[in-house]
Amino acid sequence: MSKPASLSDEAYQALVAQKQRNKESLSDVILRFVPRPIRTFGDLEKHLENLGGPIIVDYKALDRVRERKRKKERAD
Amino acid sequence: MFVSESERKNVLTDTTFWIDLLEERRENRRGGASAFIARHRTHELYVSVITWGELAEGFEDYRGLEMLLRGIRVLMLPQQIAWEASRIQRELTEGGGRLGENDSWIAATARAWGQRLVTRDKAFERVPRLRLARY
Repeated sequence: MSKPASLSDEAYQALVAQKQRNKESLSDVILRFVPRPIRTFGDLEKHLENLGGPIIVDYKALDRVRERKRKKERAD
Repeated sequence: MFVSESERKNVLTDTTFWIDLLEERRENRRGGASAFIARHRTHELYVSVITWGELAEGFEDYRGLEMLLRGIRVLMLPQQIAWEASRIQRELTEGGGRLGENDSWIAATARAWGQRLVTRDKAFERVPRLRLARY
């Protein structure tokens, strides 16, 4: 199913310029740039499976966040 | 208390849930957070901007956080949430033991939006009328 959309000339040209091959549709271009909404845990599961590469995370920093929350819990 | 089907399936995910999920991914194991996701595929999830900020501490580069959370609905803190947080802290002061500031904002967001909070942190159990989804 498709929906009509009206773009300014400038936006249209910007989109066309991002086409990676002749046959790529403007919808494909938009979907490359605009994230699909993650509404459900099912969407999240797919999102995590389809991540292009590893996520660079500072796990020590996150551990500190979690520990800080736990300490607050104990202090309370 | 009557809880509609849409409310039951509408959850706020706590920071600890996301940290656990990232660790499970790193260790390539299916722990509590991953199992929760698999059991609740049709449930709608949100994060509080407070959780977004706490998770951001674990990323040197904005793009990493964006890669993880892009597309996920982030709930901001309008006055209604500030009011709810103040109610929670008042209730807990009277009942013994306030929440940490960030946790009070997260709990207030879940309570104000009628969402269950996905967490394993025990501190939230003290919050009256806050519905929890444990994992």
